[in-house]
Amino acid sequence: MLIPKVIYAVFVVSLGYFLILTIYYIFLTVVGSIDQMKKTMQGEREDYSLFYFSSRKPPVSIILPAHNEEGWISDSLQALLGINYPEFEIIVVNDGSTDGTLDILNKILKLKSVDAMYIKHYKDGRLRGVLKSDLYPNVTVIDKDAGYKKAGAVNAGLNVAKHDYVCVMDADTILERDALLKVMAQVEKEPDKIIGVGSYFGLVNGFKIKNGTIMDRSYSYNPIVAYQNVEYIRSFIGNRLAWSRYNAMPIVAGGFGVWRKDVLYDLGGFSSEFTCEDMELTFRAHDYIVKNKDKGYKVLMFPFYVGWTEGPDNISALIMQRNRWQRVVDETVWKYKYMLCNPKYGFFGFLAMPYFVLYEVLGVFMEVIGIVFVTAGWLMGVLNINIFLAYLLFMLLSQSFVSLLSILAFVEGQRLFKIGYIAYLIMLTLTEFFFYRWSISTAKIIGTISYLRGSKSHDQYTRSKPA
Amino acid sequence: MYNYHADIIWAANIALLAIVALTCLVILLTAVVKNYLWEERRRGLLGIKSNIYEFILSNKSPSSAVCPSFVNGVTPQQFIDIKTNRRIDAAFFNDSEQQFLKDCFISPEALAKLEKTAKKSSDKWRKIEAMLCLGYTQTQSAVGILKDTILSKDKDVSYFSMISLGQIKTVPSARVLLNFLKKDPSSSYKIVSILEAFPPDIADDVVRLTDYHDPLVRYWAVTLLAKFASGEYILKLEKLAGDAVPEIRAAACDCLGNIGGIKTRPALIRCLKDDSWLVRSRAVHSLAKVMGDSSLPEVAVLINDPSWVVVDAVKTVMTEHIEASLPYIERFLAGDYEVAKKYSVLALQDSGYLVKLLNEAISGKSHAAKLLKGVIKSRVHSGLDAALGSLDPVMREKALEILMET
Repeated sequence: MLIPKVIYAVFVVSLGYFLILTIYYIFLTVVGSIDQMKKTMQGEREDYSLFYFSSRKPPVSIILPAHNEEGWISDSLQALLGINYPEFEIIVVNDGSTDGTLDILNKILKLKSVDAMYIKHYKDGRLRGVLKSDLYPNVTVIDKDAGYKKAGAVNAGLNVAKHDYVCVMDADTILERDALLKVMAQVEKEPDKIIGVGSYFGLVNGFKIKNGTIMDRSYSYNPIVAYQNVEYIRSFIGNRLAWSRYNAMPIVAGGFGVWRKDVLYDLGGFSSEFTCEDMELTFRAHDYIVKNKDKGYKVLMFPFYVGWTEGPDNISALIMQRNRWQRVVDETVWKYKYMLCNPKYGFFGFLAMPYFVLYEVLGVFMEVIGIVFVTAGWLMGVLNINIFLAYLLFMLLSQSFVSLLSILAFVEGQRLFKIGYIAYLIMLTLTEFFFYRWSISTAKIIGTISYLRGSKSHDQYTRSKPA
Repeated sequence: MYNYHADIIWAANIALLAIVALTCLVILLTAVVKNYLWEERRRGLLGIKSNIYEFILSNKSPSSAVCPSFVNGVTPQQFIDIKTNRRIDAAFFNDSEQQFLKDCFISPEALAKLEKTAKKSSDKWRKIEAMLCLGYTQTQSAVGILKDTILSKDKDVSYFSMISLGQIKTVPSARVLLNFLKKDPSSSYKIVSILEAFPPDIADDVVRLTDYHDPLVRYWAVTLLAKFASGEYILKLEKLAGDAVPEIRAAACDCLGNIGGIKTRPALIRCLKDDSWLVRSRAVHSLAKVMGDSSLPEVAVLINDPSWVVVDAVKTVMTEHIEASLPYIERFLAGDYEVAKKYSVLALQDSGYLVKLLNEAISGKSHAAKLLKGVIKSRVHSGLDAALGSLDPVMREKALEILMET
């Protein structure tokens, strides 16, 4: 008698969960697509020349941390050297690379050792030396021992950054030429309020790149990569833009993020005590926003494609990456659990945090338990096939609908994919439930177990070289 | 048995299936329509470009009398595309092409239409496009319209009114912007950024704003004045250098530094003794700008300042005028104050004088050896490694011998 009761309870809770999640996503996607439309309109009409030639434009320090990045560093650095921004410095941090990263940097930049003053404001690890480029006066290379993950490398860059804004990137991010111009022109509207900014970026897999210039933008038809494109779209429009609209952005991604340096200073820089640093810093920034409520600080997301980064192109690499992401989510949510439904944190506490707890942390268990119990119920004869199929179809359709809504908003606002590729993404969306979703669930479960076992390693899958 | 309401779930599924199918269709349709519109836009721009070429090749200069008829068909959106090259992936327009189109675009009829749209359109983005067109064509009569739209409750309309006024660049458009600065100081950063590009004849209006009661407005007015200031405002700036707000006093110092000349010195020297470190540091920079190395007797004493920002400013001045600073550096190195020693050595390092000092010491110049001794004894001799590294091996040996002796 107990088993049917349990199965019924799980059935109801699971259906309710999917219903709530679908409604939440629909709401956020609608808000996100309106925000995308508005910001795209603003961006299109912005007078960038006025900004470019103003003496008040904010100069930016770009920090490019690199740990064994010989495959990408040449292209990402050359893309940076060619960006269209009036005043910037590039700080490449060679984070104890054991491959040819430093040699490549030397070849491109013609480095020489300098006896520069280096003050350790932030935790960064042992410094080997500071090098300056003979060819590009605005480029500095910090050579340091590995040991404090990406956070330590970025902190080393922060220690020498001289401008008021800091752009933090990944070594495999190929920045668009106008990326900083578009983002900083928006920051200039409210420089006293905007403390952190993220923007769209996509997957570079399939592109042809030569010396940091994208020669051919062919989006990958590898389903593992294409599914990630759908996920990125869903995440940017269906989550982040809407969160940003309510000043509840919980993550400025490590692939591209701009921060005000004085705020980073107040926050004590990036923390190496977490598996990854980007999400934790953004959560900490929300603490900072609450503590300085009178100043009206904001962390925003913009719908401008600022760059392209490599995504895993096989299932084991994908699982490794998502395992890491899951640990970051678990670590951060646990540390900042007091923000959940805390009125002090406003929309962050009531809109973003419940999503992280219910979907990102517990969601995978809700899904797996739901499927396992309902399947068991059917096999045990508690549920008939009619109910079982109705349940599965509801899961499939509700998830597909949410993804399709994001794709619709994306296609309306961005001119990126050709019609053939859009049709392919639609097809993938309808089949995501059969394979991709469960691969991600597997990664999330492994990630949660690793988190519970205390693992904080920054596992990096083997990267391929750009085509 | 529990009632699982299979019929409800199936009904929901059928509804969802229909919605999903419809959404797929709408996505594909949207993509097709967007693609078509984009192609139209691209073709439109390329058509305008080729028309301009044909017209220019026919050796006609643009004037309202001879403007080609195709210009009448140019939409505000296309005009902005061309003026800002925001659709560079479709077509690029050079300066002369842009100028040609600008000269022809504003016929009285087109202007009336744009003004009407800017004033009355309920479509916000069409309104903004019309406003931008009026701005890019520098239509003076548009100032009256933009004066109203800048006060709009809609932040975008207000913002793009500022941008449009920024294109017109006349005293009346500056007045609208300055008035708005008084009403909404939160936009001041952008307004000042826009007004910097205006001709200097807006300075009188800016000066008037320095008397405004709101300190934030006064601050931005003085900051902006630094771009246009001339000798006639020295008295006013001297008064502002005594303002109750430190940021305003600091901005007044910047302004005085930009003006230069003997008359600005007394106020700047007074500011060196200000209570605020911000004012003192700006006064150091400005005085050095005005007086060059002859500011050193006044400035160098601030090496003992309690604020590191001021000390750093002094170091920067010493670095810029390193030869003239040597007597002061010698004195600081011989003294007891560690901060003064450290910043003296940094000035030698940053100016690249350490290498010269080593070379002079090698060639037997006693004053150089003495100074080097001071550097070594200061125990803050950062930069000597790099300076030694830049010498050839023979010279490095000799330098090391001298260093050992000292």
